[in-house]
Amino acid sequence: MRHTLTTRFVTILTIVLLGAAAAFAALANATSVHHGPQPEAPVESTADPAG
Amino acid sequence: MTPVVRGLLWSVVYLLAAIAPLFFMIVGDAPPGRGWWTDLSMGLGFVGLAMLGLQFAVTARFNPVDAPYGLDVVLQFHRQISLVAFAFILAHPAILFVGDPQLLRLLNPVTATAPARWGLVSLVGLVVIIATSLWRRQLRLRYETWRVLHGVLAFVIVATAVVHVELVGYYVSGPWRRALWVAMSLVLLGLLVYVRLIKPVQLLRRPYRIASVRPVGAETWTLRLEPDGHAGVRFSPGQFGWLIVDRSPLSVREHPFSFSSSAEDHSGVDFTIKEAGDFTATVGDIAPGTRAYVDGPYGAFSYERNEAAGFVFVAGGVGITPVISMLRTLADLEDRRPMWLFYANPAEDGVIFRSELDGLCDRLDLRLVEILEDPPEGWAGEQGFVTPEILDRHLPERDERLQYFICGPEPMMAAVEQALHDRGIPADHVNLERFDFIE
Repeated sequence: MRHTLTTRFVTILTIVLLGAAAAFAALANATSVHHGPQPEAPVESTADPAG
Repeated sequence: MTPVVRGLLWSVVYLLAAIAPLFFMIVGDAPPGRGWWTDLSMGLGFVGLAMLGLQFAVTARFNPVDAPYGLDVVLQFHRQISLVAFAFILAHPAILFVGDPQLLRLLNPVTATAPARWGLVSLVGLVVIIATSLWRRQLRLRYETWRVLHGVLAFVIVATAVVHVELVGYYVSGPWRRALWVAMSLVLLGLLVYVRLIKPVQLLRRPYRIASVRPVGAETWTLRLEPDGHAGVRFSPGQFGWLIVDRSPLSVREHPFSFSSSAEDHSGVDFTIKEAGDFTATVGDIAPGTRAYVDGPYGAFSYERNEAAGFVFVAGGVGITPVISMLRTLADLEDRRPMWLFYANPAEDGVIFRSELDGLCDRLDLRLVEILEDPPEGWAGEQGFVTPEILDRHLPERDERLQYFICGPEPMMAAVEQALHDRGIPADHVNLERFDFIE
């Protein structure tokens, strides 16, 4: 029972964390739109996003 | 505060800590977004890294955190959530590769940029730690070897991931984000130092001496430990400790065992151990006088934490050890509440504490139900496994005021837990202890 509950908790937590990451992505881009174009800012997309 | 409330509270703390980096990244003058998918990739990477860092806290054996759940549940959470963190971290580069296949060149450590190289080291470490944890037995890794490897890899994975984030630098720039990021890294480092250094050094000041090693059944031994220059450990009956024999607490050679002595006996502690693995096979060879250390107590499997009008104990094999500790303590306290003990074993030669249990039946209001899978001829007890029918035959009908304690092999515990659920016993009256939670 406790172990089944733990598995359910992990499942719910996973969904919540995925949702948080997705919300962050939406918010980061909404913030970017809010800031408007920043021609002087370094164009990060030309760099490798992964490094 | 009830254990349920405390459990919920710690769950919320975990959730907030796991998403904390996302707040750091959008706080203040946040850098511009780089497209939803790219930022989802970043978000998953940061949350995954926070989850990996939190694993140090989850496995740090903080009693206030572990008590509401029980260490077996905490370790189950540790295993399952590590797979989720692994998936998040794998998704981090995978999303970028799908968006721009040219980035696949970053997987080549020779041509990759420095940040990508550090990220790659972390990712490879993660693959190795997951594989060695899931398939330790198949890979024939000794438990002690695996623990050293696990600790080193855990450090390397988190440290290299932090360097990767630092070198990319995109989301950790700016004074606030910088301060929050450094603070989070320091907390992680502090946890590691506490678990691996401060706690073992504290244990060094509390040595024990092995007073005796007695055989108590087939391949089963009771170690008696007496404190050397200190007052010893105070535990609730049913709890367990991590035992270190003839090694420094700084070594990783420690093993969890239930205390089997009465909690009212303050002159020392007993551990009853069945030969099963690398360490337990050598228990009978331990010489009296050997130095030992006990890290504990841990666990919530105790009648003291679950008071009731009476108790039902269901023990399988060496799962009797926490139960005998509770029975010995209850007898020392001259407790007169009704109790039942269902004690299951494969065969008669596996039964331990047989004569003492008879004595405990006289000192307590205890009914002993012995169950043998393969009984000898003329056996008067129950036969087979612990079934609902056996429970029905011996337990009173109105038994919802009782607390139930189950300890034994996993299949037995699952079957008894289901049987109790079917009898209408509330889940918070059923307490389980897995003695094989180290897999």
